[in-house]
Amino acid sequence: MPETSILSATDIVKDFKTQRALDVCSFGVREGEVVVIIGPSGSGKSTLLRCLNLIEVPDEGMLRLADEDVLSMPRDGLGRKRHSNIVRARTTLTGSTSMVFQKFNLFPHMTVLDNIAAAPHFVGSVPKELARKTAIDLLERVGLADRQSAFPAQLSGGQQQRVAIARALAKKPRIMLYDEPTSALDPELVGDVLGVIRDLAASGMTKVIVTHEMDFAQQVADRVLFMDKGRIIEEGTPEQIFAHPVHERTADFLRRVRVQVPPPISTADTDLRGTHDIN
Amino acid sequence: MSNYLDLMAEAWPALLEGLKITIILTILSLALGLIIGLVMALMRLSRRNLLRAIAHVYVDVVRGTPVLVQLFLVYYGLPQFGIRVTPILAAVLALGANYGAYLAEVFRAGLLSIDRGQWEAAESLGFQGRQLYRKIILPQAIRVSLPGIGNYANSMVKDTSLASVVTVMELLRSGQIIVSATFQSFEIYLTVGAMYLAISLPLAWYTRRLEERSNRGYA
Ligand SMILES: Nc1ncnc2c1ncn2[C@@H]1O[C@H](COP(=O)(O)OP(=O)(O)O)[C@@H](O)[C@H]1O
Ligand SMILES: [Mg+2]
Repeated sequence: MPETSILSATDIVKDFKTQRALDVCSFGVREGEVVVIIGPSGSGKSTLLRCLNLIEVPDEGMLRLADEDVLSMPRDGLGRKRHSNIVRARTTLTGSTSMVFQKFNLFPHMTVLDNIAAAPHFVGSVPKELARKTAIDLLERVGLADRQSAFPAQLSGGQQQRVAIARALAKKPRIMLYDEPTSALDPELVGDVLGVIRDLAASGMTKVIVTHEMDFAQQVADRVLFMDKGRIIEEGTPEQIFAHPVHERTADFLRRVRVQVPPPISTADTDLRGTHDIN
Repeated sequence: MSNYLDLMAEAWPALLEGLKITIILTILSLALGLIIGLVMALMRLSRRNLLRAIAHVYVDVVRGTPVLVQLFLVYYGLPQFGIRVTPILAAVLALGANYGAYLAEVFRAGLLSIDRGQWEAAESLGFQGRQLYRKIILPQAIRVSLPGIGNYANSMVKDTSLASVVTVMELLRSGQIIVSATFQSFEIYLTVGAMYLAISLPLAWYTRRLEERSNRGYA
């Protein structure tokens, strides 16, 4: 990984009971960079993202935040201190990252305002009034200033996700992690949410985004990672990945999600495949 | 009718005193039961095998034995070890311990009903330990548990009558004593029944109010 990574994961392996979700993945993001992760369902995108804030604990591999070694597995996962090692590492990582989930996961018993102010106030010890004031500012930025006393269940999916983004931003993370933030939304609501995420990209925030929205990926990404079967197969600029993928699996995937891709040079004789709807 | 009024004029002060004891017993036993229940439910979900095992055995043993046996054990058994307990204290301990086991299951179901995404969101925001439970998980789990708690609160009102067997002068025993002096069983027990209702009906109304309030904002 480049020395300049603000957050990096090295040689991550994660097994679930019946299968390997991550098969030796290494990955880093630089300050201010927007990295987009794409790949077929089940390829390990979410698991990789969730290892970055230790919602999922990897079986092997290292996590570094700026120049600090945060966790080294399996070493830190052994013995009596296992739990406290992981809690300490998670505290460090969640201190600098925030995550936005596919299903929003807003706290249903709290108003919109309290959802946003809760972590800064209770975890970050920001005085209540200040936390609320910041929350209102953030609600304005995501276009929901008028819904501050609503409960999550009273909002549309798109509104809930925008609140979730405001909630994630309220603790002033250095890195935002987005796990398919628009996959649970009705198509007409996707645009607003992507707009909010993109505008925050313009603001220079470091981001790692898992998404199936290829146009969006192309627009906002500094770097694109393609994952398949628990591995990072290929990475590069949007131009490289979307227009000139090197690996057949990447090209295949992009065709299935209907991005127009010229076939890889090596298989140019099968050029008709690109016009078939493989979905 | 005037017969009944005469009877009541005599019996009423004692019945009221009994009602007071019944209400106190209900509140104290329920409070103890809720505390034990919540602690046991949290222990059941603990990472530590020992805590889980203790909670498991507690719940199974207490639910597997009659509450009357537990009451006698506390009231007659503890003094053998030099621990004196007043009748009321014995009743509160036995009823609280007994209901604690049932309420543990109510709370446990409530805790298990909370979506994994809630824990993940809270942890990703930096919540951990006590604060994670107090601010995020328990408020949601208790809301889910409220109907079950309401049920047991209602049962508790009536089960406090078991305290009469260890000489607590609660409502039922007050009634019994009046009956033994007046032989007016029907009138007295009907009145006693009505007085239990006078506690349990408002309680049922109150728990429903609580439920409605806690459902505020839910779809
Ligand atoms: N909690 C879990 N338990 C068991 N298997 C899981 C769990 N989470 C993910 N997996 C498996 O790990 C693989 C990678 O999953 P995931 O990271 O969610 O993929 P993606 O986000 O790319 O769709 C999948 O095969 C999935 O079934
Ligand atoms: Mg996923």
